Amino acid sequence: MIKLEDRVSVVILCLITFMGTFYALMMVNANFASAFLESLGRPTPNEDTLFWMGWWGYIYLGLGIGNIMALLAPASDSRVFLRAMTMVAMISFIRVLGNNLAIGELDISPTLIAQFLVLIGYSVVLTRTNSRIGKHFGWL
Amino acid sequence: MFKTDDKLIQICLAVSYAILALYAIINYFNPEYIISQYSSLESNDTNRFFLGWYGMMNFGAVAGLIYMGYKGLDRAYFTYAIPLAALFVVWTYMGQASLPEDQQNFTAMGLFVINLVALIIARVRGLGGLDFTKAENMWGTSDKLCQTIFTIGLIGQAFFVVQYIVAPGSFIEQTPGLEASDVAQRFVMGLMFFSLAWTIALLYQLRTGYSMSLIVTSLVISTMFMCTMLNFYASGSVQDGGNTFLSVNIIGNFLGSLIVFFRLQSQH
Repeated sequence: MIKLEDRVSVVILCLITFMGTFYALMMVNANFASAFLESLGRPTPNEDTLFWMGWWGYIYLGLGIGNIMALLAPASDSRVFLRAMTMVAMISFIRVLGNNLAIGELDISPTLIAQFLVLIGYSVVLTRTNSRIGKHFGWL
Repeated sequence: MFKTDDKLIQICLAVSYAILALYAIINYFNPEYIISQYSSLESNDTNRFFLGWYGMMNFGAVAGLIYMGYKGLDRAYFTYAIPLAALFVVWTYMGQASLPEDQQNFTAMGLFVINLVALIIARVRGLGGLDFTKAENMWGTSDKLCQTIFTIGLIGQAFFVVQYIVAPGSFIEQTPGLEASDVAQRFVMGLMFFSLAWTIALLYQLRTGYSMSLIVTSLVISTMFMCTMLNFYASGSVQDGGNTFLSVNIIGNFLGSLIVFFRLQSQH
């Protein structure tokens, strides 16, 4: 049933999917989302904030389903997805890092570590499945 | 789709999918909507907890249907889904019939009846009569670890049914944060119906062999339960240490489903 040939990539994608599902369910549930923000030292979110957090939660769920699709297909069929997800993970990581640095000090929070691990994870999958950016562009 | 050209089967299963997905999404992501539609439901954490539970079970059933969409009809899935659909028709009727006439709302019951009829039509047209052909090995696999996990799963589900019959209020008593009420008790009866359907489906698989569509169903349900449970702990919503037995069950279900899925998936 799982068509992705590389076992390490399968394990990494499963872990990322689980982590993504955890965050997705946290963001779509108002109680969990409020507790999450409070744990980061942020004020209690209003309805608008909860709405946008929920929106992100649904995007996370969608990406999790995308990961499962990537598990069920050969790597050659998922290259564009894996490249795109690596870029998304990199931008997310830079954003979290930037937010941290903007405060004035680097706080090694669970969110930062999670984003970093996701970026490393997708990069490893990308490399191990020979889906490196540029590899299949004729002009490079 | 469903490895059949019979349009009626495809339509019936699409209808079942739509109803299950509708209740999965509303129950899990927007329980307040359901609460607002039923005057007997108060907006409290207990009702939201149970509605979320039902939503996750529906997500699993939807995943099983999607799996069958790709791989073809599976007898064991219907052995789970048809009894469950029938039990929930009874459950919703009992719940609404006990209310004063002006508070009754039979919308869910109507949709559950449609779901039941759709599943029966798809099952009869697609797979014919009942079949209990014995598999070569117990659970249809020679993998001892998987056999053990399936057996533990069967015992666990049967245990919940027996526990409900012996002490219907014990689940609420053992779960800190849940408030005992008639509505909560009715929700627990629904949980027992889920376990009863799983017990029937597992007994069927014990004889005829495991079903990958039910393993996928179980994996989706147990992953959602695990993530939700971790969120409950992370948000500090768990009171007095929570229900240890429930936590152990959720972790056990998750690990068991994962192991069984990864050990058996290569054959499908």
